Amino acid sequence: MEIRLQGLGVSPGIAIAPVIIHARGRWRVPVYDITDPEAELERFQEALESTREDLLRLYAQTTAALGSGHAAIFQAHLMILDDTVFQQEVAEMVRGRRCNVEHALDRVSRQYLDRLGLLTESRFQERHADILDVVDRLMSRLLAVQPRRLADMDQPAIVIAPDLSPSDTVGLNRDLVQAIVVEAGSVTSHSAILARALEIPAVMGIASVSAKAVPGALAVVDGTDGVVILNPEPETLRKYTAAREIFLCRQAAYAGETTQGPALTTDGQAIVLQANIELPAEVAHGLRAGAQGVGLFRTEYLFLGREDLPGEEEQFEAYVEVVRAAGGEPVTIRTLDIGGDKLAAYLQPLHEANPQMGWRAIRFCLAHPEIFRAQLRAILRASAFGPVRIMFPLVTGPDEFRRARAFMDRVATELREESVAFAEEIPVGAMIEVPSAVVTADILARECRFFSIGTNDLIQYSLAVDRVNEKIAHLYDPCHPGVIRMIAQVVNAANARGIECAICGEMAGDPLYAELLVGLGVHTLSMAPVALPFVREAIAAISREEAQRFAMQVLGMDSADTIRDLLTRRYRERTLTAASTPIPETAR
Amino acid sequence: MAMRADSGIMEARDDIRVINTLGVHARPASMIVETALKFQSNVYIQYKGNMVNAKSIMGLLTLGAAQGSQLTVICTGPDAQDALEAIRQLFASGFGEA
Repeated sequence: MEIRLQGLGVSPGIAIAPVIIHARGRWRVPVYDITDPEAELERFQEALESTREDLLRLYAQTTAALGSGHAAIFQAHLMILDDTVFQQEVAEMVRGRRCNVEHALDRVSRQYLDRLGLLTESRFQERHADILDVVDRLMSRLLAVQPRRLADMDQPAIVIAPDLSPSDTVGLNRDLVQAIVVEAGSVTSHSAILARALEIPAVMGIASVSAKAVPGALAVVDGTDGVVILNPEPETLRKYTAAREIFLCRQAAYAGETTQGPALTTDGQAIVLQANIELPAEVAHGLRAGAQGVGLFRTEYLFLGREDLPGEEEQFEAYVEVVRAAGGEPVTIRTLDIGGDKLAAYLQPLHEANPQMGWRAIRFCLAHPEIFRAQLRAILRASAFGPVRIMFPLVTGPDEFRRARAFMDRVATELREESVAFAEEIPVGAMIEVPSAVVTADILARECRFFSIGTNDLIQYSLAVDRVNEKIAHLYDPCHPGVIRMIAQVVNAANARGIECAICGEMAGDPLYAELLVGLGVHTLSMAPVALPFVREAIAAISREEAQRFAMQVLGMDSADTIRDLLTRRYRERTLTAASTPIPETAR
Repeated sequence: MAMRADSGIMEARDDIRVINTLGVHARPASMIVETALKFQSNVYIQYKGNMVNAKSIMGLLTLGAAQGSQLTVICTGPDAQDALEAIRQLFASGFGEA
């Protein structure tokens, strides 16, 4: 029977494929007596050596592909592998009990895992996954079975897992993994970031999905809407097959050479399209899909999934890589947008009842001058290599922006005194995502060089809706008249001062809203690279004049439902005329 | 600290407090292993009735010693005193945490 599960869509796209369930540490470990312990230990040595080679290779590959920060995990695994006390304990058991080495490895490692399980702090518990990972590699070598590493998959499949370790995710085979579904995790988790960078559809946060799924059975994953359907009915399959076809065709059709430059309306108005990225590798995806630079470079990935803070040099290298990859197009770097809850690994554990309204983003950075300073120095230094813009997240009003700006100016003075090169004219702007920033946008516009509206947070904060709370998630509504009025207010404030107003939230990447946003006067839309062709196509079908009239009409409407109906109808009509094929809802 | 020579084996031991914010997590653990491996002596760390070999990263990880924990370091062997001193300094330095 068809099972439909709702999770969090963290990487867009649609996949239809058989399921493989990836779980570690579930070996059927053989137990038998042996007569020659030394021969048995010889096998152990061979397993240790080949595993060491694997880890060294993975370390080198990951460093080359994603940087040393992501590769550090393999160094940690090498240390575990090289633990001589652990190796001796296994050897002693093999000699003493004359048992096979797999059994000894299983028993000895289990003691460590059990003890780790008793610890209460998550920071210590996390090492559980590392030990399992290493034991898993050794075991697969010893049993000479095809290691069930994701890197070694041989057929296209949807990977379903209780969790994915960083080493699993960095080793994903992009050609075979059709989608990822993980029980744990969130939009900002390491696996989510990598899935987006690799352009693999991904859904997270579906409890016990790996128990419900049947290996080999067909499933549908919609990474845009966060939907997973196990054992889909023929009707569902038809619907999603069509949606997937359209998604892929349009993506291919609009990612050719003709798609460079700004998106043009039928009456010649240019709308700048930019890419939201996290990893340097994504810049190329964005440019290929016609982005004119990076509208939102999220820097959090540098800080996640590790135990120490990235230093100025490491950040500098990452930022320069992005600036270089952008090839002269502007790169808008958002300063750190996470807080104490995410950085718990190297700060005092911080338990906030409500981290969304807590010590995060610009508040956190202003309270941690050493962290903020290192990041700003790295960004400023990167500006010597190409056009860079700086954006502060979660600005609530003018004072906060001024404090951040003043801090940045001090950092710039420092660099100047040290004779370190950086661009003197760096545009500094505010991310508008808190209602108080909307209301004070006219004041902010005097001091900001640009605005970028983060619609996801703006909607959450202004409608008081936590999207992760399933009881109220449906109340999250971009069509709410309050939301549309706020966007209009910010755009008007920007236009009155002649500064740029961009949108970098999900609304920017949904073609449904393109006409409304253009009509409201937005200049720039920044989105996941995968969404660029669809928005470009939507803009090509509208005229600015009509869009402006349409926006006025929408601003005069009084209900989210009627606004949504109207937007949907207009969008369908346009795409019908343009492509003469109906666009299933799921293709958006 | 006690120092004695029973049947030729030197032993040095002392209580040490974990002062760094993060406690004995992965990075400090790897630093302890590196330091302990420089000495011939056996180095053990005892915490809450759990005694682990300080030359074993896996053992150290299972200690779960958070900030403020009181540990006992026991070194036995020809360079026990030097080993103890090196471990003590490492803990006192806070493992170079910012």
